Amino acid sequence: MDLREHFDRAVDDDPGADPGVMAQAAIVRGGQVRRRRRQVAGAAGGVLAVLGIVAGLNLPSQAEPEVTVAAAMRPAAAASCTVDPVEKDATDVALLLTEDASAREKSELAAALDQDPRVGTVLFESRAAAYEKFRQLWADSPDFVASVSLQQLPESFRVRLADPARFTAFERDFARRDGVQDIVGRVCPVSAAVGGVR
Amino acid sequence: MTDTVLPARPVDTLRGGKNDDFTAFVESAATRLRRSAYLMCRDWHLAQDLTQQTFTKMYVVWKRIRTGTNLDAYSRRVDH
Repeated sequence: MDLREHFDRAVDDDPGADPGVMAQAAIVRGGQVRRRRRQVAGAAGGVLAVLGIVAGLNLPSQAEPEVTVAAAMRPAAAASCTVDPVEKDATDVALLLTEDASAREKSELAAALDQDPRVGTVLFESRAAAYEKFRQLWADSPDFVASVSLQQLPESFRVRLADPARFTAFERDFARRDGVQDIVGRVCPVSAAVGGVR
Repeated sequence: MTDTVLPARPVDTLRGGKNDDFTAFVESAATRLRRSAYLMCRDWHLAQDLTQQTFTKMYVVWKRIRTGTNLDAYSRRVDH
């Protein structure tokens, strides 16, 4: 069985979703964000990587373009946190790294987070740790797990901020740094996993 | 975030079709992104939310994505 077949089998209970409705919701909500940003011109800095190819998981399909999955292969919100990311006052933050972040970029990020007074707690989730979670999640489908390589899973720093009021500035500063693909802030209770993600 | 009530017709019809290309992109990419997200959580509801968040972020910077990118192809860093 090739990767495509493993993948199809893993998702064969897909309940489906209406992409027209998804587009519409993105236009409505994204339009609100655009308007807010125009009102506070200059406040939103940073870099957002929304598309990326994860080598090997770029499953071919005639019906779909070669848009891929890096954006979607992100850890989901932790159970007790807000599902939707927030734009301000986040307690917990996930810094998702680019697929090609270098060891140097990662160590510089780790040092910057460690020294940042806005950061309360910081953890790093390696590809190996992400893979282990993935493996446990799909323990009943070992062939599928075997078809996905470590390299295809995301790395992230998970942060609990010392003061949620400083999230906006924190996000702006770290979004500019090399190796950072995306920053996702959520509001979580203290009992939640650090970073607000699984 | 999936339970928000929205009007029945896409907004692009209300705006003279200027969102047509975005809507077409979402229609072409949604299934793949949802399924990829599902691999990381094994929860269709969460996968849906994650994909919706991704599209919303893309819409915010869509002009830059559209003008600078061959969407059929690659990894892209988008300043915003």
